[in-house]
Amino acid sequence: MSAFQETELRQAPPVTKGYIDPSFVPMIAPGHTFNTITEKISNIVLENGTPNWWFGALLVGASFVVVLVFALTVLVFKGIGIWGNNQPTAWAWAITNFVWWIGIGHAGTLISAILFLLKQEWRNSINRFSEAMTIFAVMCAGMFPIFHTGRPWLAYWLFPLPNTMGVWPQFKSPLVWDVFAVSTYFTLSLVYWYLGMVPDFGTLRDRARKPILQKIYGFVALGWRGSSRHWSRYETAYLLLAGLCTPLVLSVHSVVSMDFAVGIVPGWHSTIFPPYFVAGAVYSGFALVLTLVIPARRLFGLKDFITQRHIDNMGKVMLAMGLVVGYSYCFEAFFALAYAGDKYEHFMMMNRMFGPYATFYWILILCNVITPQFLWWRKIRNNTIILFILTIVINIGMWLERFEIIAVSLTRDYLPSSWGYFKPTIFDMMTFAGTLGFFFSMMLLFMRGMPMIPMYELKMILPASRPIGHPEQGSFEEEVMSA
Amino acid sequence: MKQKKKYPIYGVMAEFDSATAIMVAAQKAHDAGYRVMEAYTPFPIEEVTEAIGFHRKDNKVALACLIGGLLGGTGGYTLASCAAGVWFPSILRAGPSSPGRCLFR
Repeated sequence: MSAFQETELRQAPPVTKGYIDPSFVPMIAPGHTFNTITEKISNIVLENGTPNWWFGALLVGASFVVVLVFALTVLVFKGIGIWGNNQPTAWAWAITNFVWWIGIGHAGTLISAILFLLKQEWRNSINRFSEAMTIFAVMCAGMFPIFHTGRPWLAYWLFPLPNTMGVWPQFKSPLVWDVFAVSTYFTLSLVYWYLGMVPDFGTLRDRARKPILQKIYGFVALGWRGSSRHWSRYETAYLLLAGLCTPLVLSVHSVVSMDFAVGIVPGWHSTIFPPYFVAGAVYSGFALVLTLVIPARRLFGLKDFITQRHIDNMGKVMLAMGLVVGYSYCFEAFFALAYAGDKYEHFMMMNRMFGPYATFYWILILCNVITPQFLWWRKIRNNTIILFILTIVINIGMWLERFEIIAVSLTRDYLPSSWGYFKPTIFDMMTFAGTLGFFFSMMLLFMRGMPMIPMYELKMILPASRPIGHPEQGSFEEEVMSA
Repeated sequence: MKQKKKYPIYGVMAEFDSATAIMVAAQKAHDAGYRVMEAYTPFPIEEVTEAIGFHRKDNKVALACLIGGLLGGTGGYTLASCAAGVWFPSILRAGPSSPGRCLFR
C-alpha cells in the first residue's frame, strides 16, 4: 500500500463512544505545509512577543532561584550541618534530590536517542523539549552532590587531576563512576541538543528582523546554510550521537544505583537496583515531560504539532514503566521478606512498611503503583487535565521512592544503638524548592528564546518531504496508479 | 539597467518548490556532466545529496568519530589503570602485594 492510501485511511478516524482513537490522529494536524510549520514555530520566538503569563511564571521561578542562592550561600558559610542529615542518615534529602533529578533527565535521552534509532516519528515534535529538560534536570542534580561535599570549591578533586599530593580518585568506587557517568551524560546531552538546534538556528537567523538577533542566531547557527553536503554530514553526526547516547540511557542510572547497591546497608545492597532504577528514571522523566508539555502546548498554541497521539503514546510508555516499577517494588519486598532469609533485610522491609516512615511508603505505593493503573483507559490518557494531575502524583511518588531507599534504609541498619530518625530542616526544603525554581526558570527561558519544536524534523514527517520515486513511497507510476 | 561590463557566467541558480523537482533537476544536471554544484534544502533529502554526486564515502564524520572514540577510550582506560594501579595503587583486599605491580587488582 502506498503512503498516499495510508494517509487517506488515517484521515477517517472511527469515532466510538465519543472519542477518537488516537492512533488515527496524524502526527501533524492536517493542512500544514513546510511554510506554516516554520512560521508557527519561529514566530513564537521572533514575532509573537512575550506573553504576560510568561513574565508571571518567570517571576515565580526566579524568586525560587533567589531562595536557592540564599540557602546555598548559608550552606557554604556554615557547612552542611544546616541540613538535617547527620549520623546515621548521612545521605538524605540532597542525595534523594540528586537521584530524582538525574532520573528525570532520562526521558529526554530516551525520546531523543532510542526513539530516533527506532524510527518513532512521533518523537520529532517533543525531542527538543525533553532534551532541554534533561539538561536542566542534570544541572539541578549536579548541584546536590557538589554542595553535599561540604567544600564545593574543591569539587574539582572529584576528577582525576595530576596533583602534588599524588592523590587520585578511588576508581573502584561507584562514586567515582558516578562523576564520569553524570559528566559524560551532561556533555553528550548538551552536544546532542545543540547539534539538533543548529539548522533551526539557521532558520531563525534568516527570519530575524532585528540585527542583534540576526547576529546572535547567526553566531550559534555556525554558518549553517542547508547545503545538501552539510545535511549529509549532519545526519551522520546526529545518528552517531544518537548511538552514543543510547547506552547512556541505561548506564547513567545503573551507575547511580550502584552508589547504593555496592554498599552493605540493608535496603541498599540489592542486585535488582540497576534495572529498577532505570525503569523508575524513565517513568518519572516521561511524567515530567507530560507535566511540561501539556500546559506548554496549550499556552503556545502548539496542539497542531503535539497532538493527542503524542500525549497518548507518552501515557502508554508511562504505563509500561509504571508496571516495571511496580514489579520491582513487589520483588524488593519478596526478596526481603520471603526469599533472602536475612533478618536485617526482613527488618528493613518491615520497617519501611510499618516503621516510623510507614505513611510515606504507602503513599509511595499509592502514587507509583495504583496511579498508573488509570492509564489503561484511553479516555484517561486523552484527558489532558487528569493526565496532568497523574504525572504530578507520579513524580511525587518517585521522589518518595528515592527517599525510602536512601534515607529510610539508613535510619535503622544493623546496630539498634545507632538508630536515628531523619527530619529535614528548612534549608533542605529551600534547596529543593530552589532547584525546582531554577529548572522551571530555565525551561521558560528556553521556550522563549529557542525553537522548542525542531522545525526541520517536523517537516520530515510531511509526505511532501520525500521526493516521488523514493523507495518508501513507491515509484512515480505506482503513486499515480494508486491515486 | 545597463551593464557596464560583460562578465562570463559564473554560475546558475534556480529555485524549486518541491523535493521531487530539486531531485530531478540535480540528477539531470549531474547527468549532463556538471560537477561543481550545490543544493540547499530546509531539511535533509538523501536523494538530492546523492544526485549532486556527494556519496556516503565522501563523508568523513564517521571516521573522525571512530578516531576520537578510540583516543578517548584508550586515554580513559590508561588514566584509570595508571592512577589506580601504578601511581597510587589502592589495595582493597588483605594479602601480600607489591605496589607498582597491582594493576587491576
